[in-house]
Amino acid sequence: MSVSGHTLSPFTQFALILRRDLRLAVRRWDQVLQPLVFFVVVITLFPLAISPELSELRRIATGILWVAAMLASLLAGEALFRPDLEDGVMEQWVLTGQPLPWLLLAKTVGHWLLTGFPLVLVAPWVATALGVEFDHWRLMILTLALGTALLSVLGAIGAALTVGLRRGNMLMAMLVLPLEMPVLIFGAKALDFGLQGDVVTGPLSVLAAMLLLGLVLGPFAMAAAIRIGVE
Amino acid sequence: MMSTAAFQMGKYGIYVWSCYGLTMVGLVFLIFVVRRQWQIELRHAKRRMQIMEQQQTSVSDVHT
Amino acid sequence: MNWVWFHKLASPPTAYAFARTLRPWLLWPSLSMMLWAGYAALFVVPPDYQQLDAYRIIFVHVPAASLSLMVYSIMAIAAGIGLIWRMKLAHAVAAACVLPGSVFTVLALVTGAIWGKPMWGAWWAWDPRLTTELILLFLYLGYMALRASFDDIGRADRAAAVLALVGLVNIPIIKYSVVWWNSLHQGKTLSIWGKSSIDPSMVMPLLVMLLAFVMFFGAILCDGLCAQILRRERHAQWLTKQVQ
Repeated sequence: MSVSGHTLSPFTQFALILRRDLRLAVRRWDQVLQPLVFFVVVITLFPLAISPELSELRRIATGILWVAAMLASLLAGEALFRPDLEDGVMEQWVLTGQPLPWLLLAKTVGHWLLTGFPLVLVAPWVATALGVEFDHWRLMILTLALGTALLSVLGAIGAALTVGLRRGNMLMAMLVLPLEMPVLIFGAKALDFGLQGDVVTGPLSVLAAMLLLGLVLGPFAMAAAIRIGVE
Repeated sequence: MMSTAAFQMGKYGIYVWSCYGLTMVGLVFLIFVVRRQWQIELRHAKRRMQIMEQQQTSVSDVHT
Repeated sequence: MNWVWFHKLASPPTAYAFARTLRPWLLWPSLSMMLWAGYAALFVVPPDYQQLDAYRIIFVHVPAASLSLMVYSIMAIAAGIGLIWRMKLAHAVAAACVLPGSVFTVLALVTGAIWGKPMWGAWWAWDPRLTTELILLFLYLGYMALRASFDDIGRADRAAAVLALVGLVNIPIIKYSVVWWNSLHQGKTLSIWGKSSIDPSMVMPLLVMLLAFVMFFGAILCDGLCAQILRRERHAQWLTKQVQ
């Protein structure tokens, strides 16, 4: 990304991509709202299917929250790279020899800020409808923030692998959901422990470690996949 | 001589024998399916070779 | 060290001829070893004092489960070699691994479930080994689905390779997380590896069965590899000699 002859530093590149994506999202704000609405709608399904008793819902509230967050992240992630592939941005990045993993990491961070983070913020309120007291909001925001960030990274790998395919959404679910199962296990357990008043540092630090691993290795997998999709 | 008790294995005979049977079915399935894949590819390759040869001879016919 | 033999073997014609010669040397010894070990496991080995005769199932369950994981690792490593060094033959090996790998996984799941019926009283329990095996099956199915959705074989190879490598990094994490998740639930008392002392007479049949499974996979890989090489070398000149 060189403007008028001089090359930009990696951090400027990162910031530029992030700012562009956020600006685009302001113009298409309905697309930002959709994952959020989807999250709430999925959560509404569970009381209808299981029981309106808050005492019963409280027992499975963490599971419901995590499954809904996973599905919302999956659906939102599907179109992560497609617009940029279709209008040729990705091709430019590959052809001009940009540090592709770094730029894709910027895309992923932007994606998490737009789809994962709002969901994290509404989760404590939604959880009260499942019988969880609002006092746990700090823990809930922390675990869900770590977890949804990791879901965004894994979803981005899946999106990059299926970017050139016409009917990629079902395929992407098949590729990504098995890889996301550890996130579900540790995320739900951390939240569960917290609600029961246990120590949460164990599962929480595993979640953080997995996120670090994903942030370091994930972008390289995305870049390899995007190079295949651009051809 | 083996008695029927050796086959029945108490009440577990049905479970043990079905496991061994299913494993055998799975392995035999693998042998045949993969061998068939190879044979199909081989047949395709042979046909391609024949077509290429025919094309070459017809081209040389035109030249002579 | 001289690497000429390696480069020779990595060329499709040599690999093709090598696989054709190797196959019978793997298949027939493997099948006879299976027969011997199966006979020993069913009739010779004394019943376990805790699980009685049901433990005879582990002689097919354990090899199938070990192979399912081993084949995935081989597939992912071959895919990585193909991706990094752009080696067509490595991609062919990876492509030939999927089918046997998923069959071994299904066999491990099915035999595990059948073992569970008399032991746990249910066909399925969320036992860590069975759960990991199930997720492994999902990984295989995803790999197959991704490979099938590309028309161009070169792109299919590389996309599938990326997925296989991501899966390989994830397998230890999945395994650890499932074991940890399961350890929180008490109640399962009997594991397929039982705490009961292992009778020394059962070690030999189990090892022979394991080796027989490995050799069996080798034989299947030979055929699968030949099919994949033929598919990738459509217009190569060397085919005329091999095919006719």
